[in-house]
Amino acid sequence: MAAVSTGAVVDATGKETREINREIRALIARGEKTIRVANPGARHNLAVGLDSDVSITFEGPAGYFLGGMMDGPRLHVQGNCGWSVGEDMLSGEIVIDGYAGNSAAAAIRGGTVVIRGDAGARSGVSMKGGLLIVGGSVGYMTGFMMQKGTMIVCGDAGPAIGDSMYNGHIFVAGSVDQPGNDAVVGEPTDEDNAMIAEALSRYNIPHPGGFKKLSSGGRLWNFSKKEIGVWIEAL
Amino acid sequence: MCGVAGFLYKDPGRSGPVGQTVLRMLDVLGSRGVDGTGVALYGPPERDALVLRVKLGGRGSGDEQAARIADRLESMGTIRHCEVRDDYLRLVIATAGSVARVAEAVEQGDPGVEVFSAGHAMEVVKQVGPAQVLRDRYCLSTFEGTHGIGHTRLATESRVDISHCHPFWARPYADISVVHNGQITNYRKMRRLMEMRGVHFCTDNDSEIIALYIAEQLASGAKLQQALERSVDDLDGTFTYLISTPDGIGMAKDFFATKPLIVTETDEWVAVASEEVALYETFGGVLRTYQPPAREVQVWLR
Amino acid sequence: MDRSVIRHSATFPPEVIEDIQTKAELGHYRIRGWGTIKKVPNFDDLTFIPSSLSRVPLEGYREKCVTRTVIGDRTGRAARPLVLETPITITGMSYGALSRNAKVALGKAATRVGTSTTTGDGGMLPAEREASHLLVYQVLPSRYGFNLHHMRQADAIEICIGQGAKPGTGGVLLGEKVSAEIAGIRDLPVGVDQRSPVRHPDWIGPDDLIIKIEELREATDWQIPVYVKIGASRVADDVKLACKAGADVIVLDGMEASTAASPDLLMEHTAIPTMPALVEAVEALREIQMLGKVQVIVSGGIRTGMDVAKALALGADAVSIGTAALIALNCNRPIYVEDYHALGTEPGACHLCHTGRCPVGITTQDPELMQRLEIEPAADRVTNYLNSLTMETQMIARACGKSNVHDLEPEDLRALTIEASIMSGCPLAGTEVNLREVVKKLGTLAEQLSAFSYNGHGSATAAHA
Repeated sequence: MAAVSTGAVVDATGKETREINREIRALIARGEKTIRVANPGARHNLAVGLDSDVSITFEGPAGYFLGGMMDGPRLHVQGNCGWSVGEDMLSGEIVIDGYAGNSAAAAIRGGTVVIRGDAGARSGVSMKGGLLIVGGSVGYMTGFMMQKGTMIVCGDAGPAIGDSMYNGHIFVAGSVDQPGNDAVVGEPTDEDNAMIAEALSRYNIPHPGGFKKLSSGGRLWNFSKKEIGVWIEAL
Repeated sequence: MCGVAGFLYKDPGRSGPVGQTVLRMLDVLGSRGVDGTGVALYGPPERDALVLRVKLGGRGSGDEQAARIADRLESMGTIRHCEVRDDYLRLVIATAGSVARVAEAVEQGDPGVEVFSAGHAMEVVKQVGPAQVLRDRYCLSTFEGTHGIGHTRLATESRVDISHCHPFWARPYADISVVHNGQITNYRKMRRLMEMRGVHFCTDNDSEIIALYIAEQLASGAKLQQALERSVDDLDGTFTYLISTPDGIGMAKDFFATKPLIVTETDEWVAVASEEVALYETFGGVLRTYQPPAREVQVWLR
Repeated sequence: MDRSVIRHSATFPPEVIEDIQTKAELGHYRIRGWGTIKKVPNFDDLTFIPSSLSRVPLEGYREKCVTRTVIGDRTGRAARPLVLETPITITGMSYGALSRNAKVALGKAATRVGTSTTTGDGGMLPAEREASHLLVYQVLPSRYGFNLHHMRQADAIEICIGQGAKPGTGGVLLGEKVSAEIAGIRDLPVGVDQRSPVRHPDWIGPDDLIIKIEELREATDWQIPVYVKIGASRVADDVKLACKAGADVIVLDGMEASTAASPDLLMEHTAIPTMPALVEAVEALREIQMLGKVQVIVSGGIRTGMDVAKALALGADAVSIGTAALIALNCNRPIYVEDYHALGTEPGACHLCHTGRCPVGITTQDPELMQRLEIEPAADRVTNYLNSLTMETQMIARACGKSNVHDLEPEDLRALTIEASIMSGCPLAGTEVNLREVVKKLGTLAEQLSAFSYNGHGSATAAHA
């Protein structure tokens, strides 16, 4: 089990996803803790289902489902990623240097996803835990049906942010023009602010100042004819 | 259900191998569906003449059908080019006749003969199967032109056959076509209303209505940007679509951002595709890419 | 002399009056358990024509009749297909909708019989994995409790697009059943009326599904089969798309299927019945040359071995039971009758799974009620029931001259009504005429005639006569 000091390399040029993933897993089985993937070319399904203690750097963009369903690894994409980065993640960390497609961090239950650029529609949809940080803005219906966890958005929020949230919190520094159904806009506590400052500095994201806090109004928790307005309306 | 791609040289004086460029993107997007592949490519514009791409599905050999077509067109103008390649006819006719009348004359009495495009520059070629079919059968990798759009199909509701492949020409409006990823859910309702106004549909594929809708808007004086914006409100369902016109390419995304699109631009050209991997495989290197959000409408003109 | 007669309007009968007046209090849609109550065309409208003089039957009690069923071995994409000893499996029902004892009892029964159970809209209960020798892991829009490690312990993956009771909509679990434990598993506040989303969070549309299925296979190293479950809605299109997206198996859930909680109107007015849905699915597979490659498991109102046999005859590779398994457990058994009455119902008519007050401890999270379902006897009952179904299926297969239940064919059936004949493609009893083919040919003829009468420029339909 020789550890390579510069990290092991997978050259993805001309290879299918299945082969690339096999090589990655073989390196992990060999005991590599640091892996580089050169020329990923925005392929889909890279590094899905990994549950080892390993750091992988992708020297280029990734496609859909990067790091999907993972439990433990640290992934870094030096570029953009497609839809659903880190979906269903249990633990670990994913950092995307560029932008992310739709549904970033969909249904994650733990771990951290960081998008330095913008994130698309339905970011953090159905989140069940964990932390999503977006350095840029987020798209339509971000945080839809969020259940637990924390989202920090340094840019602006697209329409319907936090729609139908059960729980969890979304912090937005930019504009919140159209909060979603049952999303209530309030002020962060001192603890919230300290958490945000720590999280942003951990990833060297400049603190934009002045966050708003979105939480669930709880009016969609139980069927109630008195809250009919909230049930009927949708953006 | 599909993949879309588009490419445009920004300089109006410039042309290049748009066929091969679009086809390369479609090779990669083929993983989204290979029920069919198609392109709408814009070659050097024909002044005072129309270029047509005709599917030869009628009686007899391709040459026999082409001969019959040439006969039918005798009174309408002078045929400058008449080439049969596999089951397609490429025809250029110097004519003062309208696109509608020329197309009708081509198809007259010959069921199975179908005009897929007619205009001054736009050529629609499509077929069942993956992008390689268009290279092998119709030599499109050598097509030189100014811009083009393309599509790979995963059929959802309408038939898998050549006529239901994209792009759809907005017949009888010259040089306008559409490629679409998604499903228009108020297609039948809109279609009935348009048919009442005299609009004719050639297929049962919902994507065709987008081309006809935009063409109608343009014909009534709207600018492309406006027409695209209106469509986002009027069309229901999921869509990212590309519309091609003689001057350029337009794009619209639905309200919910259900279908993807990535854009990359240099000073010389613009390329768009459903997936980033298609852009990387085609253009290589380091690309500056951009992801339009929901409801976004964009127009790229030469 | 005045003889007044009580006359109920067919449009506004007592049931509709009660429904309207309840909604006048409620202010929203009504929710209940089970599925469509009204009668729809089903397998009862078909009958077998076993061997007689023209065919040789097999001895019912002595000659072999194979029931072994292998799932997921035809597409070459899964290293470990499922080997079932019977073509009857147990469908997805959530831990949350069902009590722990119910889930474990079903698992034990499945193991004894050699078949599979399925998780549900609430993740995997470790006790079910332990009890059940073959477990299918559902990937649902909600992703409640979704866990890579649980999925890796499963024997198959089932991506749920929809279910027969309520296609096109998401699941529901009312607050009474969102106990501390269930809320913990699902990451929800305790006591909330849980609504599941209808769409998956990370993919939309069949073109994305292609990529998602690849992701699931990558994460499980291409070891286990991938099923795609659809509610019987736009069956032909859905089946073709599921195949193109890479499914190994299609699980088709018809209109008669149940759920533990759903708006009543969805159950009654959505989906098409299981029997015609199955025929439509098989036809679609044949059209795209996937018949015999991508398999079909059908569910929704399977009650007896006759239903099983008819489903196999019409082209299913296996069936799945839900409500029937619960009934075998004790659902609607006339015990604790006063508790049924307290809920406003009676044994034989109870569809109140959504209340969480199940008198027999099946669809409840109340620990006291759950005790009423003792695991071992319950597992025995389901085992017996599954064995009965298997034997009934074998009996009719032998009568038709088949030594393997999978050799049953549509030609072994006749239809008892015109609708059933057209829906099933089986000739009307007493005739050899395949009415379905006749109707289709009439349709094609009509298309051709209309194409010829159109005197303008070419129409695509003309070319496809």
